[in-house]
Amino acid sequence: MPDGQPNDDNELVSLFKSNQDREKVFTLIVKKYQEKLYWQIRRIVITHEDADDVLQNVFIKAWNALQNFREDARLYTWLYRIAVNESLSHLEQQKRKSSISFDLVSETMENRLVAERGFDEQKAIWKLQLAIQQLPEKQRIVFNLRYFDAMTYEDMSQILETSVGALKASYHHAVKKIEEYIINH
Amino acid sequence: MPKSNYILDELIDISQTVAELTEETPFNTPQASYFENLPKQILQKIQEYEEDPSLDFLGNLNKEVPFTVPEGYFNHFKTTIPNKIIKSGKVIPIRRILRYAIAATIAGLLTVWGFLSDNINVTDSYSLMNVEASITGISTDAYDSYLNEDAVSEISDLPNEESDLQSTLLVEINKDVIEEILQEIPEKDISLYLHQDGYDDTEIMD
Repeated sequence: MPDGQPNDDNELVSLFKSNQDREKVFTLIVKKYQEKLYWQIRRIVITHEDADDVLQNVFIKAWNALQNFREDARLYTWLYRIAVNESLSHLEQQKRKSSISFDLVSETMENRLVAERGFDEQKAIWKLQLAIQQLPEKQRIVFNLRYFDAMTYEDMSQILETSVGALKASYHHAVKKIEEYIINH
Repeated sequence: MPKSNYILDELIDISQTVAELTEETPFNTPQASYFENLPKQILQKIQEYEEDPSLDFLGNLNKEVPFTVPEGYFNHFKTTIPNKIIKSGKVIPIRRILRYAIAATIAGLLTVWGFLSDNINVTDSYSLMNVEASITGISTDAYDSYLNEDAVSEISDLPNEESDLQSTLLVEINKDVIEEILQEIPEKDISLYLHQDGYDDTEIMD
């Protein structure tokens, strides 16, 4: 492997596929995306323990699938898509495990927020998180990707396999609902 | 990290309130070194999995169903359902009901059509065909005798009012009968009637 650390996604994928120091290359990929993916996952599943589980699963899946990764796709959106799907699957499994109804899911996530260290509902930073938990699942993800990660609608469209127009509408609705929550609480 | 300009501009357009909120997340990692150690942890797990494929990290979930079923429920289930089907009321197949409904609809449509047909002026070709068919079998002698029996005189263009009137009345009317009827009606009423229609007394018929 060359002395200079490769950072370009295409380069990283090519090196991984060439089976040269795969572990070193993969470590670089993990270091490049771990924080972004972790916080995105954390905003969906709330607790650190769940986020840790999901994040590790995401990278294990990426390791298994990277050899067949199509280089016309983007590593960035591909990893995000795995992260979103794994997060939602994780929540689904927890729902089934605890036999909670769909209506109670939002309440459960709220309870998790309240249980977080340092929670203070008077602070805007926590109020925003509570407001986000009121949103339907898809809107929540769209809002998080746009608001916190400044993701473009085109990238979001590849991750969520939804049209740009629908995403814009979804984001608009999400912001309005959050505004309503902030004003009323 | 401050919001990028295009995100901020978009938010301001939608909601000033939300645009003014922080983009920070209130969550923390339990250890400051979490991200430093994470790549090593992940690779360790991958190595363990590759050395022992039976370790299914992703499928290592408790698949046990938390629900319970009363004892003997499924044994009881097999016998009760067939009995319940036998005891239930007569089952009319839906196809039969549908057939009845279709038949009733067709009958209704035919009735309406028949009703409408009766009220149609009998000048259509079908009716004419029927008339034509019915009179083709009548001989000319029969026509002649029919016409002579009724003794209908020449038909004039203008109808004969008196004869028409006579033919429709139940009682034979003449001048004496009219006078008799008028005597029974008070003069005052006759006068009122005539004035309503704009007639003068002098125009009363003698």
